[in-house]
Amino acid sequence: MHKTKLTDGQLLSQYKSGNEEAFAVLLERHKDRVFTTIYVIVKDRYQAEDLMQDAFIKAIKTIKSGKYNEEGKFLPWILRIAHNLAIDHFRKAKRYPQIVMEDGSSVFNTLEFSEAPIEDEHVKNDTYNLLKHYIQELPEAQKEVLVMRHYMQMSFQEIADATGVSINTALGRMRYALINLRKKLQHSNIAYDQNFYRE
Amino acid sequence: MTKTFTENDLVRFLYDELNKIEKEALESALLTDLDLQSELENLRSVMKDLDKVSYSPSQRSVNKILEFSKGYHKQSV
Repeated sequence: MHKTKLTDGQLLSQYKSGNEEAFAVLLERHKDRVFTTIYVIVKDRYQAEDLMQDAFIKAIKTIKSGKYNEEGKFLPWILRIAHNLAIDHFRKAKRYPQIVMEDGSSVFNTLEFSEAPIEDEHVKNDTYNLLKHYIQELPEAQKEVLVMRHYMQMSFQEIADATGVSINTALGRMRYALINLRKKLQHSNIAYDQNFYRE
Repeated sequence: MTKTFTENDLVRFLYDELNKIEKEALESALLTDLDLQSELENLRSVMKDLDKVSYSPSQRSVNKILEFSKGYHKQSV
């Protein structure tokens, strides 16, 4: 078995030639990144699962019909598809509010996921779970820039063009997002320390 | 002349979006400006934490995508 890691471009070439295993490797390599991008936007695991499937199905159709022409840039391309689907969903959800439970969560969040990741089940208070929670609390404009820059790896100029604001506004939103997250994490650490040392 | 750097410059620095001259000037300023150093480290620490934030989809979704791919191949032959 050869151990050389194939590039996305090489895997895509093999996939175009009918190698389904090459696509399985691509999916495994990028599924978490795509899913995270969607989930941070829609805030709903059930919807995020559906949208991730839609994003990859759209990609499969494009590639297999010979219309894919982004050689070597698979990840930015699939992230753009995922982001657009998530934003469309988010806008529709705003027009057609979901049924919410008494605690304010979506009714879909009450559905059981037999394969829910460990972080949802066991570890509630570590930094990363807190951070996930705090990301969701950010104002939408800040969260949008954070997702686009940090997870989709778009440049600030690309973000400014995509969102119709100046590059300084995009930079400022990112800065405030980072500062807000930092403050919240610091605050939670102080609270944690006080609980830890309480008699 | 000493350039005053803004927090936006620090964000651009952390995401490697400064040009070569700007980057060298900022790195030079960081050697002597403790406030700037502190601000940079604060932002950098959040970015490091963000790198580790990841959600995973269920295996069921992954399998559905793989099944669709195999089926779509058959349809198109």
